[in-house]
Amino acid sequence: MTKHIVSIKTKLRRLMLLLVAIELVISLSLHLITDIGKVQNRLQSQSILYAELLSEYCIAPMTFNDSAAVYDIIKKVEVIPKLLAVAVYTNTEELITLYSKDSLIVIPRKGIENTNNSGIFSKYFTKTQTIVYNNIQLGIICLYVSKQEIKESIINDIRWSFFVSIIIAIVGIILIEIFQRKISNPIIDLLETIKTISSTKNFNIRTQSNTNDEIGVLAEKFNEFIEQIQKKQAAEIIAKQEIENLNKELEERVKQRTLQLEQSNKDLESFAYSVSHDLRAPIRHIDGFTKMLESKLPEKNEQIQHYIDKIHESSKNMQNLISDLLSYSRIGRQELQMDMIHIQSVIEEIIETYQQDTQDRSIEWIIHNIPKIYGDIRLIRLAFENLISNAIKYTSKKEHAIIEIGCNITPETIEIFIQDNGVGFDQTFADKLFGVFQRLHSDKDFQGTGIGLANVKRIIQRHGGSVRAEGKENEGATFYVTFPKKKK
Amino acid sequence: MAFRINMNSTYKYILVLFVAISLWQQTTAQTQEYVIKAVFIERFARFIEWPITSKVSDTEKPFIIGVVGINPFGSELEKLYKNQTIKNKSVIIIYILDYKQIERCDMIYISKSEQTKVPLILEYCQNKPIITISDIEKSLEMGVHIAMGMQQNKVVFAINDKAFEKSQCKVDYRLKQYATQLQ
Repeated sequence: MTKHIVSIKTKLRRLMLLLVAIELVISLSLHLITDIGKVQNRLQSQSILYAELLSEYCIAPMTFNDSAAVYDIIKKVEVIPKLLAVAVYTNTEELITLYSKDSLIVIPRKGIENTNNSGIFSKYFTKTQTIVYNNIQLGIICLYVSKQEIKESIINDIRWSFFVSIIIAIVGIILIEIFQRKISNPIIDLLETIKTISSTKNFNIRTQSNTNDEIGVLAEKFNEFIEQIQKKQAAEIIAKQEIENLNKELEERVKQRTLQLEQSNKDLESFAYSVSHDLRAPIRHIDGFTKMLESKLPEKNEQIQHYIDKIHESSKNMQNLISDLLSYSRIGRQELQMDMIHIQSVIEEIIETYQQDTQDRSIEWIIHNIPKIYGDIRLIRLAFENLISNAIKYTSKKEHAIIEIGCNITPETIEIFIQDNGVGFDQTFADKLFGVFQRLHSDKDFQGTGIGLANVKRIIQRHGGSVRAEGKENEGATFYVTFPKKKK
Repeated sequence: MAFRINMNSTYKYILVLFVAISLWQQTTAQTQEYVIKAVFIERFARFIEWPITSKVSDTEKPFIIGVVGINPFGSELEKLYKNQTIKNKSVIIIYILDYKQIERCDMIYISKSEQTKVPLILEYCQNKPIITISDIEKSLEMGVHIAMGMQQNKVVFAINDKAFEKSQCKVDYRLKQYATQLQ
């Protein structure tokens, strides 16, 4: 719904015209009331004067009962336009004589007409006056006074007021135009400035209103306000630019660091691979030549045999370490071949491979139903081999080992856990478990290279998942592996 | 002859009757005139102020109107002033035979019978607050205060300002306005 806008200019014009109209109506009314009152009073006082004068002149003729002389006197009113008729009565209100200029006026022969309080628009009013001399009433004189003067006065007033109204209206309109320009133009200018700023968003524009009134103050404050916005906007632009620059710089630095890091990783992996690969041959040679040396020994010497066994053991350890390092290196470089994996079958196959090595041990396997996961089967198998072998290894000192494998499913993830009742670990060092060469148990107690769990973490992270461990010394450990569900 | 004699007698009777009627009419007209004049005397008094020192101001004394000469009013004056007052005083009418009595009066009427004696009468009134009224022709010129006359069968009067000034009596301007200039 469109809002109907009436401009201040129009409102001012209407208001002022209304004021002029009200002023005219009031002044005309007051003028009329005052004038009618004045004319009535004047007529009254004049009629009293005429009545007194006539009665005075009539005293002598009335004394001498000379009606002809009385008529001669009252006939003199013919030169006074406002006196329409004069009648002279006896004290008993019987007509003595009359003079009338208006044949329409009916003058009673007996009894005096009293219309002193007649309405404004009646033709005449009467004024009676006793003719008294030396306290003797000689008769009564009755004047018929025309009200034409009141009517003429009203007509003149209306004419005059109409004339004055036109002049006041013209002067009023001119003044209205001048004043409304003085009042509304600064407001219109201010409004136009606001509209321009609103549409163009250009805060450099200022209103030019500089009147010395409230609108001038408003315009000044508006300009100050716009200036503040402009400053704030400028500051915001500068800050934004600084942030953008910093971000760009940061991104650049991150990019460079990432590149450096990637290069370092590649170099490290390459180095590890080269070193591992290159170390394998000498270790194999040491082991081989030690076997040849052992076979060439002329006689068995316990001490020599002990040294040879140590060389074999060290060589084997070194080979395992090199093998694990190569795996770790490969995991980082290998391309993922993702597919849906029936993980429960994979786990059961791994357990199956360990059955022969653990046939002299009492291990209770509890395997729950686990849904399919999405991943690279070669790496997933490697990760779970590490976790299951760890569970078997760290429960080796238990008479009855219990290993439970299950899962927790959330709408977003599948979390597989491997829980054992082995030696466990101190929870304080849980974070260190997944670092390379980080071990919480001595090699003497449990053999290992310290790379297995690091490999697990790396594999799971490459699948977008996470690993964590909970444990308590001599009570067991639980490893949680979380995979994100495949998005359909 | 007898017829002639009779005829003459008849004419005589008719003539006598005619004369009688004429005389009666004249008398009636005259009577009517003097009734009005009698009234006028009182009306004049209304417009006249006597000096405070005069006996008119003395409320215990009556107002005295004197008729000098043959009384033309008959009994009209008595009838009129029996219950009428002038200046709130009772009125006494006196008929003056001896001019010395004029001094007693406040107002005198000089009858037409005294036409030749007017100056003499006025001498009695000189410098006294006595208003003199007369219907003798040219009496105004002789010096009376108010002279009455007939114009178009209407009683009219004229006023002698000088006489008023001399007698110290004042006449109201209204009376002067109404007074006519006698021919």
